[in-house]
Order: sequence, then structure tokens, then C-alpha cells
Amino acid sequence: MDVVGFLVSWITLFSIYSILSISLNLEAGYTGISNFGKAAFYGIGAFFAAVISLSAFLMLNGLSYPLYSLETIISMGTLSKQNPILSILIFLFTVVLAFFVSGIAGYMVSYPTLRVGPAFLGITVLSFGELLRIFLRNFQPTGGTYGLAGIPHPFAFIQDPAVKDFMFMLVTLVILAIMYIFSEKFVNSPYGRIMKSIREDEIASLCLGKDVPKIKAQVLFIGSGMAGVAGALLAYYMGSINPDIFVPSLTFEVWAMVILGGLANNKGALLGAGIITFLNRASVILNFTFQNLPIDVNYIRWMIVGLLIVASLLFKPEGLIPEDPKSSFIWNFVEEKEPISLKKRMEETSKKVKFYIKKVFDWFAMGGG
Amino acid sequence: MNLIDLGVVINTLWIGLIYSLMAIPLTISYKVTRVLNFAHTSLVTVGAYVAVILSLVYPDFFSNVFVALIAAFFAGAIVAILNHKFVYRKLMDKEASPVILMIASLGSWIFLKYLIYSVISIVSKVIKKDLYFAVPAFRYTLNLNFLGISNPSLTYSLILGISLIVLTFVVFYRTSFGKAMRAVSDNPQLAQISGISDESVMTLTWFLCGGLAAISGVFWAMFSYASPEFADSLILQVFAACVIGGISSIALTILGGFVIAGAENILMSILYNLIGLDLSFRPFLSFLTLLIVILVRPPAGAAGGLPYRLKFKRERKWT
Repeated sequence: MDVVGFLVSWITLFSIYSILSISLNLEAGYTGISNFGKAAFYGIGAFFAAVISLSAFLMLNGLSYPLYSLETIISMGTLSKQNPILSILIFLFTVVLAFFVSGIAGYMVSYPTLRVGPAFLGITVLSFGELLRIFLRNFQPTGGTYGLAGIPHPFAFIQDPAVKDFMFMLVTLVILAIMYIFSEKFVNSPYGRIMKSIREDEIASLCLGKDVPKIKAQVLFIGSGMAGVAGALLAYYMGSINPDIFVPSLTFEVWAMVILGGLANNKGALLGAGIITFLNRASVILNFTFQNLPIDVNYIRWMIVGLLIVASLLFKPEGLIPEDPKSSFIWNFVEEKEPISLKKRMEETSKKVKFYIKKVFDWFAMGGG
Repeated sequence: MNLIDLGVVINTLWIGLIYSLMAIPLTISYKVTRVLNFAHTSLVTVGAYVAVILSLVYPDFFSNVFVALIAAFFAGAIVAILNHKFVYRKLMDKEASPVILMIASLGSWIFLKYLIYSVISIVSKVIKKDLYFAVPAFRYTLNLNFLGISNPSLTYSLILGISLIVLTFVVFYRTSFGKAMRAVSDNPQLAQISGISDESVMTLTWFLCGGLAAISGVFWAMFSYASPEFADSLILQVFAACVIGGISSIALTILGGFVIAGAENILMSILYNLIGLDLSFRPFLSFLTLLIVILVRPPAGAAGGLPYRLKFKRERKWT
């Protein structure tokens, strides 16, 4: 078995899913928005990146093939290797733009629903995802059920596939680090404290003059944008995407990561993503080694994901790494006490000892009663 | 120019009936137990597959539609009760919030869905038949000529569906059990003080709702086919029908089912004939209906938004 290849693919997938789980943690963990449509925004990012990069390559080379065709896939194989700087530039450009496109989609979907309670938001966003998936399955310009293929890899000019994957893993890790640091700073800012106050009590924060629907919509913009970046990375990593990747089950996989790791804790989101993506990769390998099982190993993996959600809600609702109420750095100033000197501490101790000795003598003086 | 034809209207009626049959149990279970049950679609699939597999394996006994329906009813009811006992009841005992219950129902949805997938893949290997697009082997003895279209499965599902909806209304509004259900849905604490055990009411509610959901799955399988995905692909329509009813009113939920079916079939047909709208835009119409309903008439039911939250919080205290 190729251990290095396994690790590289696991870490790449881990970084992509961690971006997703961190973004869901911003929404569900910190702000209390029940977003069940993560897969929709993930898919928007992926399809956007695929369409833009394919059409950019076709346009710059003066070709006019349809996006989903054999000619496109074949020509992409040679075109993507010609100009390293161009392919990396297009990669960065689409990843940044995917953030805004998915974010705007999230903002627009959230607009009518934020005012009507968590259940309706969940339903609407979930059905929005299913709607997009069914639409893309029947929409021929993006390939229908086959999806898009031949998405030019940003490091296609590197000959060795192992080095190519390793470079891509480094890029995803860098993007994950940016997202992680951003969300840590974000939730510990004054804005983050407003988010937490909305989660704890919407009415109270409304009464304090916070525009609750607006803040929720802004958080959804950021969260959906992060999901879009993850989707764009997935599109470049896989090289081909189809609408059936973005099923609702994928959303619940992300929910399982966040709940298992611990809501409102970015480290927990990373831990959950690590566990679930390990299951994901392991099931791929198991499927490959045992060909003749009566059940697809993927079914068992999904069942485990469902069980993990229910079991962690039942037995460990705070998650593996619970939320640290003092994680925000303002607490360091509030809770900090004056350092006590050794002399003062010894004085206090001797005072206590004298007090107890006096008490014992008094007891004897009273005649033991 | 002929914008709509009779076939589209009949399709709308039938599909509207199915949507309302799928949405009614969701509404009732939300009303009584305060769980927005996303595992509902799994119950629908369970019902469809129990009927299909039984009618394929034991064709002499289960080819009778009524026997198959009863079997599917009990299968769905048992799954729903087990789900309640092992997940929702335990979370309610820990005073979990409705959002937590909703997330738990997502977990049980994904678990049940892939459990169904694995069972189907094992059974289809055992009986050596492809079950991924399976049609039940029912024998129909009754066949009415309905508006010029004579289709026995249509006749059966129309008659049975309408009588089931009537039966639901009778149970909910004319029996003592229905009264108990309404009492628990209004105020669980007051109901308990009056001597109504909310646990047994909830168990019976899940029994009814699981059974009804399973039966609606059998109707769908009768008319088209059963696949592990069909109920999940209907989730937008079913939830939209519920939202039109505010997840609180049964009559409005039925109206919602027909509105969604009309938007999907009649409006689609009109737009297709008028401006040549591509048929792949069909789900957008039901989503648009959902958004318009949320914007124009914000649901004032138990699942309402900010202005309704306070009332909701006060009511939701489980013993």
C-alpha cells in the first residue's frame, strides 16, 4: 500500500473538509444558524471554478468547444501544461472569486428566511441545495448528470504526479491556515461576541440594538464563501465534478464533524474533520481491497456518520473538545489577578494555622464539649 | 393554443394528493412532539420498499393492495416508534432544544437512509431481482373510468388517499385520542396535569405518522416506481407544502400540497407552451412558491420566527 499517497490524499481532503467544518462552525456553533445547505454552496463554488477555468482556457486559446465534450477534455490535457504562470493565476483568481459568488448566493438565500426561525431556514436552505442538484442534473450546458471533466490542474506542468499532489496539498494547507486564523480572530473580535450573544438569546441582543437578521446574513455570507472556496479546491483536486457529489448527506457529514469535534470550537472542527475524512479515505481503500462484499462499504460509512451525530448528541453534546468560554483574549484582562508575593502567602498561611490552633485550645478549655 | 391538457390536470390532482399525504404526518408529528422530523423521507421509503419486496417475494398473499398497505403501515410505524424511543425521547428527557432535536433527526435520517440502501442491496442479491427501480406486483380488481382515463393504480390511490385524509381528520378532530393529541400540542404541561400521559400520546402519534408516511410511499410506488432516492428527491415539495400550512394546520397543509403540485405541473406546462421554458426549471417553481409564501405570509405556526419565539420558549418545557 502506498502510505505516502494515502497521507497526501487524506491531508488534502482533510484541509478541504476542515474549511467546510470551520465555516459551519462559524454559522452553527457561534451564531446558532442551522444551515443544512452546506453542500449547495460547496457545489456552487465547485461548479463556478470549473466553468470559469475551463472557459478561460478555451477562450484564451481561441477554441469554441462546448464545456462538456471530449475535445475539451483532450485539449485541456495539453493546454494546462503550456503556461505554468497562467494556470496558477487562473487557479488563484477562481478560488478568490468562488468565495464571493458562493457568499452572495448564501446572502440572497438567507434574506427571506432569516426572519422566520431556525426550522424554516434549515428547510429552505436544504431544499435550495436539492433544487440546485436536480437542476444541474438536467442542465445540459454543464454536462447534465456527467458533470464537467478535464478541469486544468494548477500544477499540471509538473511531470511527477506525486509531486503534483504534494504541491496541491501544500496549497490547500496554506488556504486552511488562512481560514483558521481568520475565523479565530473573527470569533474573538467584538463582532464574534455579538454572534455568540445572538446564539444565546436572540431577543436580548435585539433589545441591545443589534440588527440580528443582518448579522446572521453577514455570517452566512462569510460561511458560504468559505464553503465556495472549499468547493473550488475540490474541483481542482478531483479534476472532474458532477452534481451527485453534492447530495444532502455531504452536509450531514460536515455537521457530524462539527458536532463530534465540539460546537463553537475551531480546534474541535479540525479534529472532527480529521476523524470523518479518515473514515472516508479508509472506506475507499476497503472498497478497493474487498471487491466482493454484499454491501458497499460507503453505506456503512454513512451509517456510522449518522450514528455519530445521534450518539454525540445523546452522550457528549458538548463534543470532544468543548467550547472554552474564556478562549477570547479579553478574558485574560478580566480574570487576571495580582500576583501574590511569597511573603504575603506565608503570612496568610501562618494566620490560618494560628486560628486553628487557637480553636483546638479553646475546645480543650471548654472541657471537650 | 392549448396551454394545458387533461392529463396534466389529472397528474396535478394525483401528485397533489400524494404530496398532502406525505406532508400531513410531518405536520402532525411536529405539532404534537415538536420534532421537525427530517427522517420522514426514510419512513416513506421504508413503506414503499416493504410493500414492493413483500409483493415480489410472496406474490400470492401480498399482491392484494390492502394487505400490502397494512404491512407497510406497520413497518413504517415500528421504525418511527423505535426512532422516537431511542433518539427523540432520550433527548427530550435531557431538555434538548428543538434545534438539537432537528439535528438529531438529520442524524437518524442519514442512518436510516443508508440502512435501507444496505438492506436493499442484500435483498436484491438474495432474490436476484434489481430493486433499485422496482415496481410492486399488485393485482387490481377495481378499475374506474376517471375523466376519460382508466388506470387501476390511479383509481386505487385516489380512492384510498382521499379516504385516508378523511380518516386522519376524523381521528384528529372527532376522537378522544385526537383530543389528547391536540391537548399535548397546545400545552404539554397542562395536558399532563389533566391526566394525559404525553409519552403515550407521542408514541401513538409516531405510530400514526410513521404508518401514514409509509402508506404514501406505497402509493408513489404503485403509480411510478420505488427507488431509494425517490422520497429524498421529493423533500423540497413535501416541506414546502408543510410551510404553506405553517407546520400547524392540517387543512392548509393539504392546500399546500395541491398548490405545489399545481405550480410544478400546470404552471410548468403553461410556461413551457408559452415561452418554451426548459423542463429542468421545474423544481425552481416549487422553490419560488416556497419563498413567496415565506415572504408574503410568514408562517405564524409553532415554528415561527422572532415574534413567536418567546411564546414558543415558554411552552416548550418537558417534564
